[in-house]
Amino acid sequence: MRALFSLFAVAVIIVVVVLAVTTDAGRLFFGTILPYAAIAIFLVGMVYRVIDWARSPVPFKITTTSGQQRSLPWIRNSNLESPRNKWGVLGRMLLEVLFFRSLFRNTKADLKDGPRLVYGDAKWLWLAGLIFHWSFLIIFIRHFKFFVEPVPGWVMMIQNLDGFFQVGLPIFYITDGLILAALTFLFLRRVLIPQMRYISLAGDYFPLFVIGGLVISGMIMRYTPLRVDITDAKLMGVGLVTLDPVLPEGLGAIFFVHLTMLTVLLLYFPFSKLTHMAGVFMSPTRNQANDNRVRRHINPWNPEVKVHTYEEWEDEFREVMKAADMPLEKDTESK
Amino acid sequence: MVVSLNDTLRDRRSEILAKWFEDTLATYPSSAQRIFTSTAREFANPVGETIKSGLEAVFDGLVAGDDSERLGEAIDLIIRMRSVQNFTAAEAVGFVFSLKSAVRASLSGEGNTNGLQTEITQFERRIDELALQAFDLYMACREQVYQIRANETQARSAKLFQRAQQIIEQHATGQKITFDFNTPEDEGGDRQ
Amino acid sequence: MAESKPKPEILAKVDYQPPGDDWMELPVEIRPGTFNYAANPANAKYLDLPHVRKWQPTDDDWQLPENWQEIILEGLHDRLKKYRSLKVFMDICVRCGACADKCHFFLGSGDPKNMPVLRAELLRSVYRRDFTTAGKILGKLAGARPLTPEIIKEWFLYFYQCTECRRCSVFCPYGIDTAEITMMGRELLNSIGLGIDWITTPAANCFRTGNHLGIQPHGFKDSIDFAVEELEEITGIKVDAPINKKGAEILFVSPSADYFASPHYYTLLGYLALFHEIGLDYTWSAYASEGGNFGLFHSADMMKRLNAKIYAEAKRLGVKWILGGECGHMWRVLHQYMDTMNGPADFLDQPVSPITGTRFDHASSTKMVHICEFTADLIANGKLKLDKRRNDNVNVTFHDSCNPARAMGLFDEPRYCIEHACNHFNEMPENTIKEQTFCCGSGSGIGTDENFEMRMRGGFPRANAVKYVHDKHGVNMLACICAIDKATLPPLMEFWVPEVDVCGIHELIGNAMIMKGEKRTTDLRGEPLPGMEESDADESGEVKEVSEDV
Repeated sequence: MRALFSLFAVAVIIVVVVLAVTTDAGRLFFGTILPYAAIAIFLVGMVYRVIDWARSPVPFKITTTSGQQRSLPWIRNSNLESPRNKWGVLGRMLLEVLFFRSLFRNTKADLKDGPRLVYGDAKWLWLAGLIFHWSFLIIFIRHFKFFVEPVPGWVMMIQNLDGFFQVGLPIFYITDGLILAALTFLFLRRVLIPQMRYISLAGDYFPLFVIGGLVISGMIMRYTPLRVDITDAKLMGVGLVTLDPVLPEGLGAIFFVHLTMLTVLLLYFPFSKLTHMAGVFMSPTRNQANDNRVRRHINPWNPEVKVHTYEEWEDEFREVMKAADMPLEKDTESK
Repeated sequence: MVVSLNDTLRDRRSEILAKWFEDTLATYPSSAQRIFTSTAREFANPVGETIKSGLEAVFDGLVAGDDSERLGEAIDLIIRMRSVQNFTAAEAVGFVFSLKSAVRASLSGEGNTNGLQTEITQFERRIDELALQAFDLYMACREQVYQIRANETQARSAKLFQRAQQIIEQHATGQKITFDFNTPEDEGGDRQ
Repeated sequence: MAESKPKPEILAKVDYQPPGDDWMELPVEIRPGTFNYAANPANAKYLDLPHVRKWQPTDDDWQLPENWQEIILEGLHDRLKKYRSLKVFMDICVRCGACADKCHFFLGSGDPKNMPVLRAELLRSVYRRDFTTAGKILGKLAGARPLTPEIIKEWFLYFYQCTECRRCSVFCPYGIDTAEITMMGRELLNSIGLGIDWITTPAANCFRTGNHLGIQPHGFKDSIDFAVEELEEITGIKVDAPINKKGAEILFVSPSADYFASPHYYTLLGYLALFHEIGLDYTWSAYASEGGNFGLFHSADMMKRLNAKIYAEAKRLGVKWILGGECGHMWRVLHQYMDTMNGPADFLDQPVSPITGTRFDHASSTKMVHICEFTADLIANGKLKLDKRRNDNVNVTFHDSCNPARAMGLFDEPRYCIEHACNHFNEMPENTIKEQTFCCGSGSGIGTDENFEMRMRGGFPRANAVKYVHDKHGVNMLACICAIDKATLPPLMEFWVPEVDVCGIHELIGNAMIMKGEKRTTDLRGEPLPGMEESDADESGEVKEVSEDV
């Protein structure tokens, strides 16, 4: 139901785009106005998000320790799992962001009945997540060639690596296949696994469909007869970047679908769970060192609280303490 | 050719067990079933694993004609577990009967089960007996729960009780008491 | 359970499905055995808590204050501004499901709302509705829902079905910590007078007298003196256990259960023997006689109120530094909160072991050292004579308590102590120990009698791993360094693995330690000490062939 709603929403967007770009006004809106608005909203929105998070202080150092602390000199500290200093924190964050260290923990499974696909969901989640995010990044970088002239050497290098196997004409990019497979997996596990279906919201399916639409429309443009002229695409890309937008005639509806999927993604980003892209860096259990007893952490709003002072306590119990021969600050007689 | 029921059951062990396992798991919320079924990791999935290995042991015991003591051992952990989960007594032991339908379902594909009718009836009677035994075990677990709860309350302040006892004895022999248990304004205590 | 009527459909079939595919539609069920009783009004009043009243979770009407919605929403707003953790955790969960099968309560019960992600969604759904644009516009579609009394009941049930063990946080790709969410949820509940007694009453007692049971200072002294006498009966040695002694070098703080409860008590005897044997210049405090801090399970403010005593007392007594006993949540407070809340401890010295001269650099700011760190250092420097054979009657496995594991990273120190005190030590499977340790199922103030069934369910993953090492290696002793563990693992074991007993590490140390001038034939529990049964007869009190551990 929630998945269907999201699918429906994406389908509606696609239909609207396809119909709209038959008119000049539509092409202008989806080809120029909306992309600029989306970039602006994305940038402002994400910056606002990060600032908003940062405005809330971190009152306590609540590191989750996943390894041995630093204590006695002859006990080996696990600096990446229980960082004793900022280098450890940096390493931990890099492992987390680049390789999804915590998700990887799931894979330590002792499969009793032998590894079976259905049983290894956790392992596949890590793998699919990693493939999805890395593919997305590489595809994103590959697209630089549409926006800058001359194309930087490193972008071409990444592109050549991606097309390493030299299969097909035009050459098939490995990441296109990988991201599609990963997306399919991430979608299927949400609908097929009962507990995943149970916890999933419309907001979990929607970005999957949008990115799916983005990838598929992109692949149609590259690998099928609906191919778009690269020169036209580049003309438009460079135009967008140089703030001198042009809309070459040759760009068909499929191009606008592709562009709009990206636009929708950008628009949706700051208002959704996709903010985890920035949020992961601000997670207090991961980005702080486990050096609590070495460096005092300051809580900016450390409140004054009512305590039960020693004096009040002794006043209350002086008689019984005296009877039990316990040391006192003030003796009864001296009162 | 005469095939005994036990041979048939042995042949169809995995099929029957799979059905029985599935039916037993169906007593849990759907969102949990997958986890109980799928991660066949003993330590990451103790409930699923306990049910699975327990049912296997019970089934094998029934087929092998084990006595009630051994069957009881086989079924103990499942019952123990279900006695503290969200089940009524009937729900907690009801899964035992599901074996009947699992066996029937498995045999229904078999063309000729007429010759096995007596044996089937006998086997089903053993399942009934096992269910009664399971109910006894369930009751024993519940009683144990209450027993442990009583012991626990005592252990939580074991040394205080011991000391209090000593003081009472001292008091009886005329010694001075220097100990009291008062908690702040102990009126209106509401613990049930 | 008792009032449930027999349901004929149990036999008819087993195609039982829970209502709906939407957790928001699931009704809240207050079942016996799975909730905790409400706070005693007198104790809540003593702590100046808001909206104190007499009520119970089984009541239909919880008599919420008139403006309860306002209080909750303002409280949430306030906490979003004060805690980046809460704000980030509310926003970035992608519901990947990695945490779902990591919670011991979910693994033991199958109740979907015990999946950490859903536990957080209970709060997140309310957050979305009132604090996010998408939630305001799209409502339920965006996973938002309006705040109703039903939701408050749900929160009460499920935020008190979380032990704040942080196991899910280890597996979360963004480090989302359900303990943090539960803590906020409980603070909000407390702000409308919905606290539980097992937390409020110990907190009130601790605030007033210094310990959870409300034992007054002379009673505390009596307990310690009693332990000294018992230790003398066992070892023939009269140890000194000073209380409120000014000018002592070290203040020792341990959870009060150590001197009230069993089997904690044997660990206390172990401390006393150890401190005597190494000639430690230390003192107990009757004012700060509780290391445990149930404020952690109540609110940050309450935690600070109770914790303040420790530094205050260290200052008053003029000690150099503080040593802390075996306790789990106590150490979360000491390690992660104390210095921030009640520091800086600039009136104390950098901790140095007076016996070995080791500087505890890792505690240079907080100035408090864990007893396992202290003892491991003693052993490593050859300061203790340990005869492992004296623990030959036990085959030990070690339960990492949640807080020392996931909030401190204290893994090797306790193991080092065990390995030097025992010949038989077997670890539980890898994914059930250290940072992946399973909770006892009773932590964070929900180890109550009325919540017993929930505890047995939640503790099942732990018990299952113990059962494995019991069956495989003959393990019969579960060692741990947490007072709540020592209180709640024995019933857990009695139910699931009755052959296994529970002890503290310093009980094992106390048993293995050869004391100068000792005369003992029994261990600290008064049971025959292996290898020492006959030494009574030759009156020498010496051990033949001592294996000294260095």
